[in-house]
Amino acid sequence: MRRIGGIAILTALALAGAVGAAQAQAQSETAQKGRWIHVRVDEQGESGAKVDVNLPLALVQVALEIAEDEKLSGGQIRIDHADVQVADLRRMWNELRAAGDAEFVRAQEQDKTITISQRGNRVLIEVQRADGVKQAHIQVPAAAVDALFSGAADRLNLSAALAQLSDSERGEFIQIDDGESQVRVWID
Amino acid sequence: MLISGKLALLAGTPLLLGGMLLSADYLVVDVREGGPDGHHFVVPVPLALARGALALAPQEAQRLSCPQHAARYLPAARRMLAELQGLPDAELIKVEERDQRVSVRVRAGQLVIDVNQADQEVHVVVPLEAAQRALDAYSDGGFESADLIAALGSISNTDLVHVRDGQDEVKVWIW
Repeated sequence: MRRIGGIAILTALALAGAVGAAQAQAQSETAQKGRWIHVRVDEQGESGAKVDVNLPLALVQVALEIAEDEKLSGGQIRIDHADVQVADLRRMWNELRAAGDAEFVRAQEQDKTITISQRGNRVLIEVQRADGVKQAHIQVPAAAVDALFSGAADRLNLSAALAQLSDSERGEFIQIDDGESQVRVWID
Repeated sequence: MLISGKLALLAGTPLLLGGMLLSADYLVVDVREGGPDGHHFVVPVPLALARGALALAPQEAQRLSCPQHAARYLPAARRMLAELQGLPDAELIKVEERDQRVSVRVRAGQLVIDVNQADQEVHVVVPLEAAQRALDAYSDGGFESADLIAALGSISNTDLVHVRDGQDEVKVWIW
């Protein structure tokens, strides 16, 4: 669950973006008119939380512009973590991107298999149980990941990533069901 | 003739004031403290009179300055309000946990925020057009108080704020 959660958070970072650079913003605003991002989280159990978010992308963009603190500024978030350096992630992504369609990671655990691959300009992250049931299916346009890493050295460009994401086709980007909680993120 | 005119004016003034009070919108603040010794205040402020009284108020009360760091968010806030005003009625955010519920929705041109938990309740309504009008009143580093009151006056019969914390309760509404 923790691993899936981590993957979800990383991908959510890519999804959560807002307006990109000023030029991209003007173009994407027209395209995004009327587009909404939806997030559903449904945790099982008596104390499980249920979250239902439905927001117009344009509104998310403006919110990201407004939101500003020491970590978030201009739609870019600074990652300040000893184990995770944006520069390393960016370098890793550039190498993976250059490799084209391929499976980058296949991690076999006792009861599940985790794969990360690139297929047809999409990054796919899948977690599959030993019995074949998919616990997580995350697909993000590679262009959105490019945009995510287009920010300053130690920052992830959420704005540009969301602009890219919202310019791509509609549909579900994240689907997680690990038996304890369900998470879905989609744009329509 | 002059004396009868003055008498008419004297007699008419209370009627005029009464008419203004009856026809005016009121901003009503209702504070109720819990407990056996709790106080209960209800302060109705007739907006029309408040506008008139501003003319007699000291200069510093006629204008509210806006700190520089807040003012720079005004363009973005205007855009956000414009976006919200363009939305159909919808629940934007809903979070439910065992003993807590949060809801943010757009309803009939208003942003409605509700937070409910065990012994606390917050209900806030932001009439979007009035909020936009208030923001549009910004100029030269501040707001004219009269413009803000006018923005409030554009709201009718709306519960703006209701906060309940245990037995304490605060309500603000336009009547």
